[in-house]
Amino acid sequence: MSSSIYDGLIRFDTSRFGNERPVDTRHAQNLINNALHLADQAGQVRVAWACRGGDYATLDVSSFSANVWYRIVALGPFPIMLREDGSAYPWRVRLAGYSSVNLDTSTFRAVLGAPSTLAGTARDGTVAANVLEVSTTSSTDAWLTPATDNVITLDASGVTAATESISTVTAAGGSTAVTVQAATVHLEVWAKTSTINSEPRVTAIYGAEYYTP
Amino acid sequence: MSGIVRPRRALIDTSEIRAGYTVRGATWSTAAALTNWVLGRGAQLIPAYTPGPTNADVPDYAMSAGSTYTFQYYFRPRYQAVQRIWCFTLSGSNNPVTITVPAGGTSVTATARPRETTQPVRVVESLSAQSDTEASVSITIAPTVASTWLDSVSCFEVPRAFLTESTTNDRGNDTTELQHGQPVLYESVQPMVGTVTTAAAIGRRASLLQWSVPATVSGSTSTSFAVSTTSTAAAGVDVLDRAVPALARKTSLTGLTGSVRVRFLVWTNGLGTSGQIRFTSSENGSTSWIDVSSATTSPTWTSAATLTVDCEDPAAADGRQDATWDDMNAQIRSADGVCRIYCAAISAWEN
Repeated sequence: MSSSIYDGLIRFDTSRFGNERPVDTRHAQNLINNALHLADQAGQVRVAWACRGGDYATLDVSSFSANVWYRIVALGPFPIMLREDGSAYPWRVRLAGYSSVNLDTSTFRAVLGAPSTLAGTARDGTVAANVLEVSTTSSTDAWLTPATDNVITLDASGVTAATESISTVTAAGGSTAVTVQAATVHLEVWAKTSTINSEPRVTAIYGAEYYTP
Repeated sequence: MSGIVRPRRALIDTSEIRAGYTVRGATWSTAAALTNWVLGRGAQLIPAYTPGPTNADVPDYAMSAGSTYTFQYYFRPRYQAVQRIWCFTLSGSNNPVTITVPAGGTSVTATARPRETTQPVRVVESLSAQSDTEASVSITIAPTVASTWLDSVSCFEVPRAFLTESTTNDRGNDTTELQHGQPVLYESVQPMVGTVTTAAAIGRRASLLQWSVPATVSGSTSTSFAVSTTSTAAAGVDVLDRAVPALARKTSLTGLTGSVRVRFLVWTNGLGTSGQIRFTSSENGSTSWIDVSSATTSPTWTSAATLTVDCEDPAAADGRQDATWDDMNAQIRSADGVCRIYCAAISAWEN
């Protein structure tokens, strides 16, 4: 889905424009279509990680319990693109992993949001909208398929929790300070195992913004 | 006047733009603000990644005391950026680590803490000039205590507060010139016309994949972290565990693909004839094999290769065409089984 008129960029002859001439409605429509389409497509790839062949990330604790969530990977912070209603652009997320022992269940959650909120969200009994959950009983490394889809969202309250003021400058090499508002979030991977005999192992994660109205 | 960059995007009711009717000043003003927003919010230069697995099972990523580890990247920034923020997550035993961004530039000292309590460190890089030219950037990490880990790296352009009004360069749109009650002449929308008809000038995905491990430790070439092979297998050996998803922007009306540029940081053991490297798309084929002469015995960026990948389908719920992932993969091989090729970085960005 798209907010633009034509789901794509319209190319047109800019030589038809001229100083002191009014812009006709057809050109206005094309210009605004393009602005909307470019905004729709402004999502960034925020996370793109795959480890070296044969490597993986797993529980970093000396001893662990079954069916308890542990953080495996923490990535970020990064700013996110905000929709018109103050929520975040949805994210397309994909996670690869496996269980170190075949037939033991490993469950993974990719959680997006302000750092202070992630642990609670990851351990919650329900899968929130800003969480991608996947599981496997296989000891073969693979991209894992979620129960529904690969899209997660962060609502306006989640964005507010992640919003901060960043001090910057007005020009390259300049010293005039100015403040900008940005929501900066983290993406963390949490995991649990059905038995202490096996480890959940993560080998790749990808997260990109994608606008849908 | 200048173009203010707002924190969130705007929507425009396109049903109000009809033949025979005047386009309202508020509609023009919103379109200008939307264009500023796309231009000014900054790109992700290095999507977050983990240089090495963050667990004791695979200890070979630990950094040693007293050594300086150089990480190298290649990307095409956006012209509008004036500052970048680099983010590093370090883990260790509460030991100080010196981070220099870019290499040879300003250093900061951070603390590598136990992984359960570690927090990201931010380092601001102020640019001396604006540029959208492809360029390599290096950073260095120097631990003072052994068994220090770099758990994650990312880098983004700091959003701008406002853009300079112009038809090139910053491309800011002055929304105050687009008020109701007055005709909209070409001069008022000229920056927007040039910008929204030139997709490469606005909203590029400055990186689709950045993977880098140290190729240089304390000034000398290191083979400890790079992926290498002497295999002559026709399909080569995968550099990474998994091919990584790729979706470019849709920059035409009917297009199904986009273009990605990629460079690799490679070298050889100096024996035999050459090593080779290529980049593949699971949906759109691959680049040609890039030869790396055996005379290349120190880390060197290859020339840029171009790969076609799927672009987003705006009609799809998650942007994928036909619900299929297009995955990018780097593969290396030896031409003769004697030359060992090393790869320590992959950089891919939208063309």
